[in-house]
Amino acid sequence: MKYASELLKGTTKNLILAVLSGGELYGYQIVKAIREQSGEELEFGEGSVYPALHALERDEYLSSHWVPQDGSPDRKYYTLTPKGKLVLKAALLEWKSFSGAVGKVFENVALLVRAG
Amino acid sequence: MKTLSPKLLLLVEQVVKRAQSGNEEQADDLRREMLSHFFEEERELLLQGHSQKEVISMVTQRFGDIEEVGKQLYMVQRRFEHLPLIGSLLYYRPVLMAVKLFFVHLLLFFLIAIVPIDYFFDRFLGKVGVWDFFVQFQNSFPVFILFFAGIGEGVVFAKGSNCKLLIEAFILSYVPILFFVFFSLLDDLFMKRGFFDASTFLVFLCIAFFQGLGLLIGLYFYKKLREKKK
Repeated sequence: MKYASELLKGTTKNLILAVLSGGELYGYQIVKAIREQSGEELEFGEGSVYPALHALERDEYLSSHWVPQDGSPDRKYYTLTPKGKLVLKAALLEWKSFSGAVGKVFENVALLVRAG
Repeated sequence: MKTLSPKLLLLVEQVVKRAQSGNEEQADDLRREMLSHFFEEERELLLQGHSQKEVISMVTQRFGDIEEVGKQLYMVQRRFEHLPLIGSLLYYRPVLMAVKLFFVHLLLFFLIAIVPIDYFFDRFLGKVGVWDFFVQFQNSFPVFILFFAGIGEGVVFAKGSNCKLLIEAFILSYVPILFFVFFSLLDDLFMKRGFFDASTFLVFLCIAFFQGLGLLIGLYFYKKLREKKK
């Protein structure tokens, strides 16, 4: 499903933190993990993951290291830092509360639409 | 090692170019990461049975707007993410570097202006009897200073930059002075208040020439040193 790009823009960093909570991943694996874990629902420009990754690394929410590969280009693996884990926890709480609030409003609207 | 198809290699370079941090280490890092991304995706799609042509089209489409990705990467690398307006203004990297160089030039002019060079010559060298030579030296002293300062700039600013960028930035850094000359020339032509001084303009030209020459020498030595280290 195609979601508004603005919706995805605001959540890319949190999505990255979320998929990295399962362990270290490299760029393309992160893209795939988001796609697969969303049940192929989230379609976004794969390139937009990299500025988000670099910003998270700059803010010390992620750390990275290069792993040489045989017969293919080296991979840059990203890992959540303790600071990143805290941010992810906060983001999850915020998201739960936010989506709950938005859900309540939409439920009310849905009732009105059905009644009307 | 299997390499990427030329079209995808070009895509990698386009992303790196648009991110144009100007820092060679950052650019190399980004290039390696993009190579890995496109390589993995290309391999996966080929294994799924897509033709090379289809793969290129799919990879390009999936990656999204290169211009936007490059700009966002630049903003992150330059730490202007939270200042989008300034970030956009300085997206053209030589401008940022030119601003830095301009302030270095201002500092140098200030230092030259406060060095009590007259006193030094009068007090110590005037008595030696080689006065004429040193008067000449004194007159060209700022040029010597700026020549050596240029070498220093070349070495310092070359770190993590490329030659084209540095030369462009150096020329841009003199734009404010050229503006000053231009407006004083206009003033001289129309208002006739006598602000324009051709000799001052020539001095600036001379300074810019020697400083630029120093910068090129510094840049040359830095590159040689780097190659040796590699």
